[in-house]
This record gives sequence, C-alpha cells and structure tokens, in this order.
Amino acid sequence: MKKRYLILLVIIVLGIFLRFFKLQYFPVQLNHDEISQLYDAISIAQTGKDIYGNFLPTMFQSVNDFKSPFYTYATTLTYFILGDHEWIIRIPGAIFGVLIIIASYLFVLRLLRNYKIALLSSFLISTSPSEIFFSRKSFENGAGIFFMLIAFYFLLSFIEKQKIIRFLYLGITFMAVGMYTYFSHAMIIPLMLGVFILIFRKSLTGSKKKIIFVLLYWILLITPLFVVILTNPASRYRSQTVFITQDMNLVKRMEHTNKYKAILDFSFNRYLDQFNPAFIFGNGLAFTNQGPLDMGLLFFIQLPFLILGVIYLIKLENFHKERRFILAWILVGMLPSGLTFETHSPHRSIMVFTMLNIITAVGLYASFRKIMRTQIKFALIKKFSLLFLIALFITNNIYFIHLYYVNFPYEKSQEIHYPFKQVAQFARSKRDEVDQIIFDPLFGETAPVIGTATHYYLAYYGNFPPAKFQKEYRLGTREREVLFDKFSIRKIDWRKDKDLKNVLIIGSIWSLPIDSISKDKIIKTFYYYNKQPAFYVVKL
Amino acid sequence: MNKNFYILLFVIITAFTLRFANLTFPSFTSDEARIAYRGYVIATSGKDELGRAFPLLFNSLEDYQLPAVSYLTAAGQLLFGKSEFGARIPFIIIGTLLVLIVYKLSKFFSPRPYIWFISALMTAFSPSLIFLSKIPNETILLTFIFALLFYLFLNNSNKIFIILTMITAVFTSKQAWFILFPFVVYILLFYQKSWVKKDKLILIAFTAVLVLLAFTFFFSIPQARRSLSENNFSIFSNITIKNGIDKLRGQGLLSGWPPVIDRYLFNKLHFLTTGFLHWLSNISTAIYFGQMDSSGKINYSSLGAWAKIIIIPFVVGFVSIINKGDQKKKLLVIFFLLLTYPAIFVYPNLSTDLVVLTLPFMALIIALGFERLNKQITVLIFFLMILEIAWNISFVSAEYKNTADSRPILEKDMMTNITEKPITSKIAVSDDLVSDIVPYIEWYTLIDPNAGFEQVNSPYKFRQYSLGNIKVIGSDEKFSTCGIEQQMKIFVSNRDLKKIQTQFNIIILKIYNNNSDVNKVFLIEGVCT
Repeated sequence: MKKRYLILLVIIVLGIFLRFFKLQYFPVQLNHDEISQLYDAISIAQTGKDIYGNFLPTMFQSVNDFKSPFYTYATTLTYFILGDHEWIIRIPGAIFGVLIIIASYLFVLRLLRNYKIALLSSFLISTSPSEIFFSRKSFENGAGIFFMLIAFYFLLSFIEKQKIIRFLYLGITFMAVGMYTYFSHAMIIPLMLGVFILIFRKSLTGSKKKIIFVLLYWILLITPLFVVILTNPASRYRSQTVFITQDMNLVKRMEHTNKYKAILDFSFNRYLDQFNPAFIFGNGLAFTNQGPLDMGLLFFIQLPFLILGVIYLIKLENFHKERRFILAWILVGMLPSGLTFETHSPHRSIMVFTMLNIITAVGLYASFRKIMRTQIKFALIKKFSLLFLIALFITNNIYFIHLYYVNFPYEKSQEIHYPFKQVAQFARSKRDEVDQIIFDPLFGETAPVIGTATHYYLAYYGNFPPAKFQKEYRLGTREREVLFDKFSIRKIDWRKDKDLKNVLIIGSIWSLPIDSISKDKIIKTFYYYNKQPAFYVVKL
Repeated sequence: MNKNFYILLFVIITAFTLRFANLTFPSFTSDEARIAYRGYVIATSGKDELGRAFPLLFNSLEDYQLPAVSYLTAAGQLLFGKSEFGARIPFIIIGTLLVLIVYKLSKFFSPRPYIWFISALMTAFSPSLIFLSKIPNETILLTFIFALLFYLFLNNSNKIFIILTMITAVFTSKQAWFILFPFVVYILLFYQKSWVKKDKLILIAFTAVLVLLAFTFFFSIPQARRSLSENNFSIFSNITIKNGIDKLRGQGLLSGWPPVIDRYLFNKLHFLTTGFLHWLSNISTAIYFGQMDSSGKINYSSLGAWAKIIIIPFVVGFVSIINKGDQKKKLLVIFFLLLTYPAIFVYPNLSTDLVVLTLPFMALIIALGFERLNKQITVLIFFLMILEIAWNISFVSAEYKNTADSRPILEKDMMTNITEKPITSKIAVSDDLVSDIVPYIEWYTLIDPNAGFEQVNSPYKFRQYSLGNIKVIGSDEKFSTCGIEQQMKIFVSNRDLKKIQTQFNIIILKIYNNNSDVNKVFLIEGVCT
C-alpha cells in the first residue's frame, strides 16, 4: 500500500514540475485574457472594484467578454499572498492542474475500484499535453474539473457507504463550487448530476429523504449563481456572442433553408466533429501554423490504448452503471464545444479529455496485464514490447515539449498578443517625454487583427494604479478610441495624425505607411517572436 | 409466396420510389453531365465524346475514368434514348438492387427476419445511397460490387460469378485496385471456411494477378503516374507537410536543440501519422451521421450517410457485437478499415467515396443494434429517420442553393435557349460559369456529337474549347464589333460582361440566375469574338 502512495507522490511531483517549470516564461507573454484578469484582480485587491469601477462584480466586463469571476478572485488571493508579479495570474491554474492529478486518482479509484488504473490515470493526466497546456494558461476550466472530480468521488463514496452522510454533503458542496468556476459548468454540472442520479438511482433509493435535503441544500448554494446569470444582461450577451448561431457558415445556410433545421443540422455536425481523431490526436492544441504538424489533446500513442480501453470497458461484467456514467461524462462534456461558434474549442471540453485519459489508462492496464500474462518463453518479447511502448511514450513527450517550448512561441506569438508587453513597457519609459502616446492595436503578420486588452497592457506594465485608472478611463470620440492618462488607444489616421506635435505614435504596417515615414522618426521597432516586425514607434 | 416475400417487396418498392422520385434531382455536375452525354454517344455511335471508339479509359475533370460507369450509362441511353431517365435509371436500379443484396447478406449474420428487413430498410433509407443512386457515378456501382462480392463468397456461389464480379470491380474504379486484394484475402481467411486451401490460394493468386494487370496496363498510359500521384497518393506531394517539417526543425535548431533530436522528431514519418489520422477522420461519426459532403457531390449537403438518429442503434449494435457478438459479427468492424485504407494516402481531401463502400456493412451493424432496442424506441427512431429523410427529399430548394457551384441548374436553362436557335448560329460561352461548361452544352443541346470529336489519345483532365459553332471563351478572349453578315450570341459571365461593357455598347437580351438567384449569366448581342 505504501508503494502505491509513493508512486502517486512521484506522479504528483512530476505533474508539479511539468506545470511550474519556467511558468513565468512560457507561454512567452501574458495573453489578453491573462493580463485583463491580472489587472482586474489587482484592482479588486486594492480598491474592491474592477477597472471600470464595478464593486465586487459577479461578472467581469474585461474586454467586453464578461468573464466569470472565479479565476479573477482566485488571483486576488494569490496577489495577497505572493505580491505583485505578472506570473501570479498563472498560479491558480497551475495549482488546480496539480490538484486534478490527485482528484483523478481518487475519482478513478472509486469509480473503477482498481488502484493500478487509478495510478495510470493520474500519470497520464500528469503528463497529458492538454492538461499541462491548460494548467499553464491561467484557465478557470481546470478548477471546475477539479471540483467535479472531487464531487463525484464523494458521491460515489456515498453510494458505497451510504451511512456516511457527510460524503453526500461534501460532494454536493464541491459540485456547487464547481458551478461558479466557469460558465459552461453552470450548465454541465447540473446535467451530470442529473445523469448520475438517473444512472445510480437504484443505489440511492434507500436514501431518498437524505437526498431531498441535500438537493435543497444544493439549490440554496447555487441560487446566487442563477440569480446572476438570469438577471445580469451581460450573461445573456455573452451567451449570444459565443453561441453557434454566430458562425458565418451557419448564417449562410440559414438564408437558404428553415432556420431551425439549419441550426439542428449544423450543431449536430459540429458536435460530432469534436470527436474527430485528427483533432484529438493530431492538431487540437493548435501550437503551429503547419497544418497537420501539431499537437493533439492526447498523445498519438494513446490512440490504440484508448480503443483498447473502450473495448475493455464494454466487455467488463457488472459494470453497466459505471460504463454509462463514463459515456455520459464524455457526451455531456462535449456539449459546450459543440454548441459554440468556433469549429473546435477544446478549452470548453477539457473534462472530456480528462476522461479520455482515464479510458486510455484502462487500455494501458489491459495491455500490460495481457503482456505480463504471456508465457515465460516470450519474456524477451514481453520486455521488448514494454520498452518499445515506453520509448514511444517518451518520444511523444519530447515532441510535445519541443512544440510547446520552441515552436509554439515562434508560430503563435501573435495570438497571445506578443509583443504588447514590450510595447507597453517602452511606452511607459517614454511617457514623461511626450504629451500623448497614441497606440493603434491593429496588428498581424498576414492579416490585420485588432488586439484586445490594450489598455490592460498599458496600465499594468505602466504601473498605473487601478484606482487612478478607474477615474481616468473613458471612451473617446475617434474610431475605437479609449483614453486614460496620456494614452489614446485608437485607429491611426495618418493623414491627420502626422501633423501632431510631441506625440508618440505606435502602430503596425496596417496603420502606418512605413515606407513613406522618414527613418529618423521611427525610434523603435518591435518584433514578433519570429523576428518579423510587429509595431513601429514614430516620434513626432 | 410467404409473408417475408411481401415485406421484402415492399422494402424494394420503397427503395426504388425513394430513388426514382424527383428524377431530375440532383442536377448534374460537369462530370456527371459528361458521363451522361458520353453514354448517349457510345450508344449511338460506339465512340466517346472525343470520338474514340470503345475506349477503356475516359476523360474527366480530375482523373482518368474507368469504363464500367460509362458503358452502364450507355446501356440506359440505348434503351431509353438521350434523356435524364436513360442516364439515371441504371444507377437507380443498381441502388435498389443493393438493398436486396444487403437483405441477402444479413441472413448470414442473423436467423431473425427482423434483422434482414431492418438491414434492407437502412440501406433503402440511407441519404447517401439514395443520392448516389440518382446520378451516374462509380461509387454506387463499386459499393454494389463489393457488397455483391461479399455475398457471393458467403453464399458459396459459383467461382465464375465471383471472378466476373472482381473483373467488373477492376473496370469500375481505381480504388478497387487497392482494395480488392486485401478484401478477398480477408474474406477467404475469416469468412469462407468451406473452401479448400488450394482453391483459396488460387483465387488469392488470381486476384493479385488481376490487380497487377490493371496497374500494368494503367502504367502504359501516358499520364498514369501523374494520375496516381494527384489522386491516389496526393499526401506525398503535399507541400504543407514538407514545409512544416523543415520549418519546425529549423526553429528547434535556432533554439539550440541538438540537430539529431530535431531530425528524430521532425521527419518523413509525419506523412504516415498525418495520413493515418486523416484516414480515421474519414470514418468519423461526423461523416456518417453529421455532414458527409457539404459540396453536395455525393450526398445531400446537410446530411450524413445516415439520418442523425441512426447513431443510436449503430452505437448499440457496435457495443453488442464487441460484447456478445460471434466472431463473424465482430469481424465486420474490420471492413471499415479495409474498404477505406487508401484514404491514408489522399490528403488533404476527404475520401468520402470510400466511406460509402462501408455503408452496406454498417447497415448490418445498425440492424443488430435495433435488435437490442425495445419496440417503442425502434418506432420512434424510424419515425424520426423517415421525417428527416422525407424533409430533405421533399424540400430540395435549399439543396439547390447550397450546391449552386457544384450542381448548377442555370446551365440547363441556358442550353434550352441554345436549342431554340438554329445550330448553325455561332455561339460563345464564358468558361468561368462552371468548372467545365462543355459537358452541359453537349448534354442539354441538340449538338451533333461529331462537333466534339477531337481524337485525343488518353485524355487526362482534357478540356475542350470548341464544339463546332460553339466556342468556349477564356479570360484572354478579345471582342470586336461583328461584321456585316456575322451574327453571334454570347453567354457571358460577370467577368466578361465587365470587359465588354468597357469597350462596347451592348444589349443584354436575357439574364440567367444561379441556384441562389444571383445574376450569373448574361445573353448579349452586338459583339463577336
């Protein structure tokens, strides 16, 4: 028994290492979500308000995407403990990423009643590309998954030991907390709870009274959440902006046919496409721009073991309820990804990949058992098979490490708003030398995109006090204009702006006619991670 | 005649009705119009549309075309003349017969008549099989052939029939050359237990020789290598993968990674892993139950190979054969891999034509799934399936709009206009109206076939630009005022209309809209080419 806990400890340490190693440097810069949550967290810590002056908001306006509050408040806590460092935004995500490893061990142990599979699951989750990537990305979904795993661990424990009522209350409590972590969890977790009750109803019939009280307790816990969701117009706005009807391909189809049929056909296909093997094992994490040469959410080597795991689970005797629960977890977990406007949104379905890792562990266990039980005269083949598997697994890991630490920055730095940090720091250094700094966040290597959260970058890296920002932030009169302090974030109109005096103008080739600007006026050039020019600073 | 016979008859009639209803839908693609016209010309003169007598390889937009489909269309046109009916009826019959084959096949997998009829009904109601039964194409024929071949083996039929079926497969599609050998070997090893080993070996050897002969003959054709490279092995010439390997490796070197590790991680093995995952994408649930082909070439553009609700009995059937099925049923799953494996080498396009080959086998699994469901759920599933199919078959206006580019209908209206003129008129047509306008001209007008004869040997992606008095004009065409006795009707696209309007004052006699009611073609007078 001690041996298994030692192994679990090693797995956890490995998980900690993979999630915290150079966390402040990779990803190479805080993306727009991170910077907005970080600055809002500091604003809450210092003033109790977000940067727009909303007191302890239940949803954060952020960059008009109305984020759920959990992660920002978790970062506020981290700020109080660790102080002001840009990397504190990544700490809660990484911590929950590690906690998922422990939670998955407990959950699998309870569900499958096999500690070896539980250890294998933890190991796979500890080293899984999707788990590591999202743990390092300051993403709140991981917290929700942790709470879900722990909640169902306790609920399954209650089913096993129905006299211990605290398991039921603990499970429901964690479930309620999980619903507050991310918007889709507010929908998914109640669905999963309903499915759980339906599947295990026969095991729960002896505890009807207890369950009713617990459900009432749960309703009490989640009532504030639903009050916020139902009464806050921002919540409706957010749902509308991410729903599948925003997809232009669907909009085109709706012009030709009955609207509801078009939505049904399109949604169903979108949902099923989330299970595309090329997406799951090939390019789901979108680390590169090189087509199929990318990283999947699971390792390629996991594919055969996932299939074996499915077959093994199908064939297990007296396992109907657990099998249905696993299936429901996957089908329900894919719903958010399948109903949004993006072709694939893996960040909304991480719980599915966690479960796929668990099923892979089952397949690995079944394979190892088969290999180990082969006859002695094939011992050499046995050893070779195991070594070969380990070698393939290590290769997949090294491939992931290379893609994540080397290729991802080169290929996708623009998507994480690199080099907005450097631009912001430079702008701060020049602030006292000029009357105004105009920054047009329209940028992009191959096509123009408007960078969001620009004011957050300028404010945070400019050490601009949140209290002051709340007072000074305002919308301007020019196109896309936002103002605070000496900063004007707006569209550059070079025909007029070129006559301004004592200003800094920062823009890309999409905003500035670089070829016609005198070289002595361009005082600085900022580059993407791949050394292509991103922004120019013009001093007038 | 027992009850089963009448039920089967009902299913067959239903299948036929579904395929025959709305005969002229879908409208033809360029290649389908080409096959239809070709069938007519072969039936009347023994030559193809280019004037070659009884050739074995035909022209198409993307590849060489094998002869079976064209001669089958010719049979239809010989009997019924140059008509939509004549062009489509052979495939409607093939598609209906496929239902019968699946019915017969299912008898080997279950003693229950319920399963036989469900299998047949599934085949009858598959959107993709209905769609493909309505157009001249090799996919439905090949699907029928492989299902028939499987049946002949299981039924212990006369080996002559098996051989003839295999030969027909080889003359139907290049895909058969890749699939036939492993298909036959697999059936002989795992399904055909009654043959002696010697007979099995002889047939395996025969299959190998047949396939080798096909490839050998094919390689004697001028553009054979190009045909295989572009259509069957496109992954190896995919520049994205090659460039990706170089780029990612280079970034590793720049970052100080040891070159040997970069070479180990980024090398030509990526072609294999990419192809393998791409292959699995072809046989994913989204293709079978979501949206098989958004371009509308081999299926209704918003449907999968099956109605959506059929995913339930399929999953139940799949689980049941894994859990409790005998070996014969379990091995059905391997057909999904055997029939689609050439998709590994075709990237980035999907090979949905190969996916269709698996549908008869999938019908068996679905039927086994229905066996595990209770009556109420079965009735509900059937109701929802029929509702979805009926909707799509009945309300085709959306389908016309969704497939405006691949299955244009305006060409038919245009060509009807051309037949009102004396054929001695000079006519010009812009070449960018559709992918290839010539087949539409040939199919929808009363043009003399001799006008299209060009005596091209082994035409590969060959395009014609002149059909007697009808000329196809490209973007570099120059226009001028017509001479005194010159007269020309020109059907121009937006591209050529703009060009002409900058130089001349013209009269637009008529405007033709495409499937989406957008102005697409303009009939003008007053200029000549």
